[in-house]
Amino acid sequence: MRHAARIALLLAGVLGGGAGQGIGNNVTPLLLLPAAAQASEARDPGCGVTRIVAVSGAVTYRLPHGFVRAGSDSLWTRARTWVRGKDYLLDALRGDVRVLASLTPGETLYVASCWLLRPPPLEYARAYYRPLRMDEPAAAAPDSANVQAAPRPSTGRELANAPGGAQLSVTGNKTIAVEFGSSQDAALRQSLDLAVIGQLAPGVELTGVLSDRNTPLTAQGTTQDLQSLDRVLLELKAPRGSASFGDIPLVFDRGQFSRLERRVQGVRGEVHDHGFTASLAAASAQGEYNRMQFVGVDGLQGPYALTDRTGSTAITVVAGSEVVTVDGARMTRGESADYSIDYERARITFSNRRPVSSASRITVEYQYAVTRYRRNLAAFTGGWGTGAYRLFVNAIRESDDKGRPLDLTFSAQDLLTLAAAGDSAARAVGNGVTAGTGDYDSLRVALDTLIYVFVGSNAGHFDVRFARIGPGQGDYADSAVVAGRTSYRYVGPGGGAFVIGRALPLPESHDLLALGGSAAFGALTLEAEGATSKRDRNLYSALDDQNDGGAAGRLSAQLEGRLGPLPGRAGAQVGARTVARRFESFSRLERPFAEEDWGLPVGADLEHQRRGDGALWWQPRVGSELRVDVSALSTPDGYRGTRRHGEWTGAGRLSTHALWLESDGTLSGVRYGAAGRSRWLAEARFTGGVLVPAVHAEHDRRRTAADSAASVNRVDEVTGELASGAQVPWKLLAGLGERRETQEASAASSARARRATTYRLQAESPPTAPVGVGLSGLRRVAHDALAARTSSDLASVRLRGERKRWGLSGTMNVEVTSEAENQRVRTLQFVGAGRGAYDAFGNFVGTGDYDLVLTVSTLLDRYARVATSAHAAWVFGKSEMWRGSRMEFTLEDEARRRGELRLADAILSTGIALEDGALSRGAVLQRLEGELAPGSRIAALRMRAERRVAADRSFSDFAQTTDQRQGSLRWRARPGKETTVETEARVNWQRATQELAAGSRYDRTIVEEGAQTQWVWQPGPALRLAGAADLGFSRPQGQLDATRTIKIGPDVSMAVGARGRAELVLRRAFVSGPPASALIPSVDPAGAARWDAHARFDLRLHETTTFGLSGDLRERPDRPTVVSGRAEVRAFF
Amino acid sequence: MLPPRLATLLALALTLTASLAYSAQPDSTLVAGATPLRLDSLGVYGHAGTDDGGLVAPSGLATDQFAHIWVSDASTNRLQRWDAAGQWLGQSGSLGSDANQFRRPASVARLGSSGVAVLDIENRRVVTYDLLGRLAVVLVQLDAAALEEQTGRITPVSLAADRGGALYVADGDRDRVLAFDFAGRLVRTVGSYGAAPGSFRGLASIAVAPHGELVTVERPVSLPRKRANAADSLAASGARVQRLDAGGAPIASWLVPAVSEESFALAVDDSGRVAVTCASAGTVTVYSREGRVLAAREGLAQPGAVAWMPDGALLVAEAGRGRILRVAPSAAKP
Repeated sequence: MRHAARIALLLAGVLGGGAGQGIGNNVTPLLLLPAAAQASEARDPGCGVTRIVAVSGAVTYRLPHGFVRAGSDSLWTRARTWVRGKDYLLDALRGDVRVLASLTPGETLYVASCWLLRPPPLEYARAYYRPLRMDEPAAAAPDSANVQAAPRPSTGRELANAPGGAQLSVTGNKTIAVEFGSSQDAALRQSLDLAVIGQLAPGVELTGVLSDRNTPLTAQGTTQDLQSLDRVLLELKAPRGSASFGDIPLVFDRGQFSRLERRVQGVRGEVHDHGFTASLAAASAQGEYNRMQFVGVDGLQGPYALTDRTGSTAITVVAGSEVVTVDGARMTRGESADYSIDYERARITFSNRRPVSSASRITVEYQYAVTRYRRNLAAFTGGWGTGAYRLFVNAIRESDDKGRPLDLTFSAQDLLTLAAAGDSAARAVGNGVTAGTGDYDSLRVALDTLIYVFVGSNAGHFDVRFARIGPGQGDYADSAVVAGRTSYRYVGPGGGAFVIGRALPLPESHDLLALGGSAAFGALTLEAEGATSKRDRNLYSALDDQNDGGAAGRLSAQLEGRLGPLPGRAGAQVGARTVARRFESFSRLERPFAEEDWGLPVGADLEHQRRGDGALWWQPRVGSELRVDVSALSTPDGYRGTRRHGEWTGAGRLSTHALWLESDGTLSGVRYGAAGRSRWLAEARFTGGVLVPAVHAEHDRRRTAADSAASVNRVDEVTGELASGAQVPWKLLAGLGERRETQEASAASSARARRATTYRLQAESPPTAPVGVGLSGLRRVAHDALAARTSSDLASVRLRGERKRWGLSGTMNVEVTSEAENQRVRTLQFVGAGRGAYDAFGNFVGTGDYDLVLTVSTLLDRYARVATSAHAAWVFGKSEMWRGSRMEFTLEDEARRRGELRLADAILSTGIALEDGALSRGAVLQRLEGELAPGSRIAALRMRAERRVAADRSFSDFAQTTDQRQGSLRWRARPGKETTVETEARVNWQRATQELAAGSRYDRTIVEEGAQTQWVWQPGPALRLAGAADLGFSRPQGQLDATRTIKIGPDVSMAVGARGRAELVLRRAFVSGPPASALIPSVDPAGAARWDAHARFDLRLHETTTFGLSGDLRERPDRPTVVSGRAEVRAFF
Repeated sequence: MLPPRLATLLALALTLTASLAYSAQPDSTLVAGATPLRLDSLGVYGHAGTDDGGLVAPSGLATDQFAHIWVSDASTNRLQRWDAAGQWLGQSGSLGSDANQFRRPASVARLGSSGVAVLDIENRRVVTYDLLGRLAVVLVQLDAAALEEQTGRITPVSLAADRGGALYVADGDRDRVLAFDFAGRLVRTVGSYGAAPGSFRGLASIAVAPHGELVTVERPVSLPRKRANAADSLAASGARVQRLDAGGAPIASWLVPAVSEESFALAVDDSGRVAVTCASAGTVTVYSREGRVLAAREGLAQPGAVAWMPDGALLVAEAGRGRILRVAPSAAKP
């Protein structure tokens, strides 16, 4: 009866068709027909079926009715009926269903229930009774409806706003493992991964992750502190605010003087309401900010080294903190995008999508990791805006915690030195010479001059430290990196950037406060901003503190509106800005290379200035603008000048761009003080349906003030492009450009000319075509005044094709770039018989006669790089036996050639890789593999022939090549469901050569032949038995007798109870003949272990918890037996 | 001692003789699916091409805890990211073998709660990235000499990771699953060649369920003729999906209808639903944890990867159209 009633209810829902009450689509209506007649007569309006669609992370759902009749509820899904108390709980009063069983998001839950048709209110109101007097109007009687309603005790929660608990989904894993072994102490390892996502309250969403790997545990079993966690990230979003905790970006973009863009670790909160916005952040700064701007090198995509403020390259860039622009355009990180960056070594390399030349203006803003003190950052920004008025305030403080130096301990003498150093880092140098084993010996070069000379790694009698104090201020220079340490050489007083001593870092603080606002009066808008900063460069010293403060301010007025009969809008703007010499902002105020517009040399200080601007503009239509402006500038360094600028941008099918700039100025205090710039530029592009032609012409002449000679740089450039239009399915482009650069110095009357021609070609087929081509190439050929020619190539080629009917497919990718690498030297030092760790070729053998010293020079070798990847496949066979058969060919190669690339490098042959000395590095993989009749029960075959060649000549005095050829043929049989047999025969031929510049040569070839077979019997899921045998013959080429190895042993895997599983893999090797030889001498023994065993036991303790115990044993003759194990508990939640 | 060639021939002959002594056994049971729900489109990420946000041959797909979408592209050798709203966030990688370079990147897997792992097939390694797309570390070098000495040659075809960051690499050549811990150390090997539950024949793809269970899919095999005739609606061949306990013990298996040589992709969500794509058939099918058909969609253009979103929606990478399609089960019948 109960079932029949439910069916009746279901049908009632169908017939009623009301929202939220219906029948599941998977129920067959025919089955319900007999019950329908009965149900139509006995339908209870107080009963029905509610359909709930499950949402990810939600555990509580509210029914449309409260006061559910006790026992009337029945829940089911398409799969089964749910059990009250086990699968769900129902709050009958409020109609809340709390889900206990697994409910898939998107799955429908049906709830049949009966409820009160006229439920009492869930709140009560106190009613007053007072007899109505005859002289009182009726309206004066107390109205119980106006009395504040209070919730009933049993429904104390606000139903609409406080659902039954937060809907948070917490998932993750905790792993604790103990590792032990004969060659190691027992070690505890753990990991924690936790993710929280869901709603804390209506409209308040929380997302958070926490990850902790390999962190040592305290005695209490907890992680030591939050900072030792690998990654914590929490985001809280509410209708009127948000908060973040963890690795967060911090961006202040109001005003001009207090802009800030940092990546920090800390907390940030934001609120906004009724026109007010406020944001507060407290964080630990991950690094110190720096900005580098430099001009590219023709044909060199990178790497370009990034430095700290003192010019040192020994820094680590904070990952993700960089902002890179080339010629004013912001770049995107990614090897396939614009650039890649090596954060550890602070080097940036541009991709072939962004060609770099001597005309490229590159700017990199970044943070480098703090290595001196823990650095804190606190920032507040607030704003208010309503209608035409805006106000804002920014306050930022960044300071080193001088009481917590990183990796340093100060002596009393050091603190005195710091206190006396003032703001000068050059004076904060402690003692740097320690007698004892070191890399240096002393040498007296004059009566009063004792210098220290690098004599080799740990070969001297003094340990000497060097401090960088700036170019031209020291008497030592860095020369190379030897065995991982930088070596220094004496270059005379003022000839270098280093002095002997230990650099004592100065703790700094930087404060900035900015106020600003704007007001609009019709077409007129006024803006004002003022800022003050204080930067103390040495918190240990009060000296020089009087120069720490600075101020800046600006005013501007803008008039904007329609201008009589002219179309569009027009405007005028005037402004003035002053930035004092001592003012320090958190980011640069001027755009990169703006100093060139005034004739100032690249790198000149343009941040501090007094400047007035006036501009007129007219926008006849969207995207088109004519702008004219005039500026006057003076800087604290003595520059005074004016600039006139006009620019037109026109949008449409014929888009145009024209620019004219003229500036004149004088730099006082230098002999040739006249400076300025004359520049014009014209561009046009016609966007046709079939063709899109474009031309570009530019003239630029810069006069730079200097003491020795007035330098004039002149650039003339013309480029043309022809591309396909939107009506052409292929994307095609061809371009040609010519650039001439002339550098003149009046005093010497000398001139240097350079001409560069650029060819560009692009083609890309429609992406959905069965055969696809993508081609992009750029060649730049440069000639200098001496007629020397250099060329650089950037290219990428992508080919793909497919013929489904024949089972054919293939792809090929080629990428060409120009890069550079530090010169490296590999030096072997004889240290006596058995006293070193290396052999005569620099192979690590544990006990040898040599030590190896690697020296990395600061000089770069330029090379062209090409990488190729090709893959072709033929899949065939339709019958059960042959289906899945395939033949595949794979080619992967990479060549780095010193000098210009050759066309043959794109598909590098193994012979060239092995023999061509101009290849710095080369690698080739050729593989042909096939699988025949994989569905056969008696003969499924797989064959593979593979050759790998690698050559490394990146060291100037050492080269190594390896050549590995492998062939294998496997046969599989599956005679029954319980039994499989597999046999594989193999041949390996390997050759390695090592060559020293002195002429010594190592050459060894190893030939190995063998076969292995395995027989598996698996009667069911509970048991798997296997027997394996491996027979191998290995010998150096030319040696008659081979090392013979037979390995045999069982594999056993079996169920232990309902939740456990045990495995054992055991191998015994029988070796005869001469000892096995390794291809390259190594500390590791060659050949197979005599006993090799692995055992493992897994047990699921609970639905969410597993336990694993494993152990390994390896035994070789004349060597200690190695035993290791691991016990692990993993909990998923 | 026998000469090597003679020993090889002898072993071949012995195993051939042993194999012929056995007869054929039936395969797994094909689940008769109920009427599936329809998978409606909710949106599209990316576009066909090689520029920013462009896709040519998407081969791996994953979402992180913040619903960011990570896609590897085997043709352009890069890893790209989008947020849930469809905004392109950035990319990493190019062709090569150095750090942050790929050669045919394939599966992408959410690694614990703080990053993703990418299978770099021809460089034979597993590399990890943090949630901001920054290269973290090469977690497993699959052709390292020490590892190959333990396991022999590994031919990776698919990668999965569990909530704790443990990695599972499917070795298609030897039909086994290699399990690595969160530090990249080999923990165990699961399965081997065979038709029995817990073994594999043509292992094609792998995924990991919430509590560490493994879900695998193999190459299609033909069904016994009488069974294929018994259910007209079923295909005459199917690819076996297996659900295994973390230790390798089989829990359940079912067959995915497949008509030809397919390439498959798998994904499992927190509730245990399994999504399977068949590239040449152009289908994606959603199964319950027991193998019951919940939803399906046809007409996809070479779906090469699949992943679940935190909100329960399903992402399917269509190589033929160069895009990521976001779908969700609909209550309406197809």
